[in-house]
Amino acid sequence: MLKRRKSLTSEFDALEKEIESTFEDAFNPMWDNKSRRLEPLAHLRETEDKVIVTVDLPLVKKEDIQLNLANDVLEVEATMQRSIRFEKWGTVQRQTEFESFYKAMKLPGQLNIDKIKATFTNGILTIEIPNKATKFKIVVK
Amino acid sequence: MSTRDVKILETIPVNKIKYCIIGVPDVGLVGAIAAGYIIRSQKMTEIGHLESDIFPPVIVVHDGDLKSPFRIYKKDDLAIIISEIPLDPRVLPQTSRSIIDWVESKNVELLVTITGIGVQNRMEIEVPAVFGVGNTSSVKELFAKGEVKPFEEGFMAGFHALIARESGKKGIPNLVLLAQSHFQYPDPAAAVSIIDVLKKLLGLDVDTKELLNEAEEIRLKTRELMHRTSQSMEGMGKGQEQEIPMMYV
Repeated sequence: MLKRRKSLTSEFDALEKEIESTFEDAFNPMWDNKSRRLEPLAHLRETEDKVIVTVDLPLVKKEDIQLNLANDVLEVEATMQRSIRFEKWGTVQRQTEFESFYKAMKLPGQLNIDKIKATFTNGILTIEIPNKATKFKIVVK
Repeated sequence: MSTRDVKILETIPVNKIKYCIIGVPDVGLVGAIAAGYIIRSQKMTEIGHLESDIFPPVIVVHDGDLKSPFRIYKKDDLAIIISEIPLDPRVLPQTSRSIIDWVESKNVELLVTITGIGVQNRMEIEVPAVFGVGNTSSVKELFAKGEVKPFEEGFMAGFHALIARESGKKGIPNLVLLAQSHFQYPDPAAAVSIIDVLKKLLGLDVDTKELLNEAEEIRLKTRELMHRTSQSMEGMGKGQEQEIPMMYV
């Protein structure tokens, strides 16, 4: 009986999660017609000694990328070489000329922002930020 | 039809298909981009679609017409099965079994599943290489003709893995083509590499110039599909494709 209840609970949890994610996606689209901005695809990966952020920025030139870092929030803003209209898609999107990308990301942990490094290769922006924490060598006896 | 069945409905009935390609949203959207481009450039005809109560309640509107997001196209002796939405991991077993039953009923001589394989140094690779997995020795003999490198060790996860398994059970020759790709960013250049192999293998006459010219716009316009596909890939164990298998068993 207990087992049945547990499985029902987990099924409801899964359903609730799915509904939440569906509504989250529906109400947080990756575009904003007021600011004419698109949200780029981005990923953050933590390694032992640094945080690596990559951002996919098609139709963007290196000199049109602006990076800001304040209060552990990394902001990426980039103007596209030409505006883009989704001619055949949706209702609002097709009327809007999108001109730039914008993404804000909360960075984890204590980072050494003085040693931040950014490169832009084949339309992918890579930002590497080393960890601040000092590494200690411990001798095994 | 049971509520869990996946049914293939032919709007234009066909008896025989020589080659069948499957391209669904997956790593780098490689399969979906390549399949979509071949369908468009070859002006292939829609001949059917997949239908099931277990599919998400989604329908696409193209030029004002309602369409299933999971459709089948045909031209001459080639059919392409394409999905415009990412597949929920929970529907993969039934979907792959139904497709294989349909492929068997059409006496398909070669079933090709096209996809990407994530590589960390993708940014440094100008022309992505294509790897192949074949389920028979005659399929493996095609590698040289297509200039495909054999994928000798590793994990495959997701829809193409199930298609490979099910086609093996039915004795259907299956070739899985995996192009080096970005894992979670759309990769039209990897799709071009796949098409170049298909041109050599199946004698397709497809000009990929337009796909390369449109690559940046495709990357931009498929962001949301890639985002949603990444979420569905989490439930498929795709990360395992990056792992080293236990080889000494």
